[in-house]
Amino acid sequence: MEQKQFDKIVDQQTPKTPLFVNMLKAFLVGGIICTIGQLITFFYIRFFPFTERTAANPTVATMVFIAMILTGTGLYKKISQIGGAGSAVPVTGFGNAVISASIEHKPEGYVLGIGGNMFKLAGSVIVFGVVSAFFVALIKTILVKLGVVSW
Amino acid sequence: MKNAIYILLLCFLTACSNEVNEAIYPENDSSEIKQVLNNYDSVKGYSSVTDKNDVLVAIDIRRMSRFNKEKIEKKISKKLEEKFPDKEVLVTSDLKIRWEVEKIIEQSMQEDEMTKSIKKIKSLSKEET
Repeated sequence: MEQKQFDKIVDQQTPKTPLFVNMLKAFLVGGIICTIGQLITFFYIRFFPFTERTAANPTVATMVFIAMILTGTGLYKKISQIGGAGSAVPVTGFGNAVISASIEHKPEGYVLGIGGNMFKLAGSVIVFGVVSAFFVALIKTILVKLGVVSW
Repeated sequence: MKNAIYILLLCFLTACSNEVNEAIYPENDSSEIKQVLNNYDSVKGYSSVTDKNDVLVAIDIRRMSRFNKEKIEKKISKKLEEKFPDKEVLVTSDLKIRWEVEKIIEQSMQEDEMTKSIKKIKSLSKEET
């Protein structure tokens, strides 16, 4: 059997992915997560001395925390089964990646298992954020020192 | 089932409120602020507080004009600075500051109490992290 023939048979056998329905589900689930995030932002603005700009940080932390608890109880798995990318792209996906990796490697021990593998998936996000923030701050500092822009 | 989904989508995707909120406190020198703010179509409502040294204006910008939020704020504050040369002007569309200004108006605070809360609001707006 040649490769082309084989590909044809595979194409015939695999069930069609309902692309539009999947996108709609991802849109709805991602939208609901973001709506909850917006509600938490309003909560922080209303009851704590945060402005619209500064309320983003505690909101992100809260959303990640909620996602971590949901992952630990196994609920997030069900949500991501429906939502797909809609549940992975918002920050909640970050919390999910950290906790699911540490659950997976728990039998290997606390230090080498959980400690060593916790940031296997999400570590690149942290490294990218820190490094890019460092370089942006460096460029801005140089520009301010040269007098091109002001803080 | 399918109809229910469509109705739900309609509920999620549409939201409208046309309430206009224009409040200036204290009202004795309100006409100048009103004149400036009424020139802008993108400003839907505003609440403003004035005391001896400061003019605080919290504006509500129309949804689609939010992309030019900072430009609009800057323009209005420049115009107001011309009108109040001896006062410090702060124009912002921040929700927190709007709520705080509305709180001052609601409680109709006295002069010294108002100065205290205006100071607090200004320090809030300067916060970076």
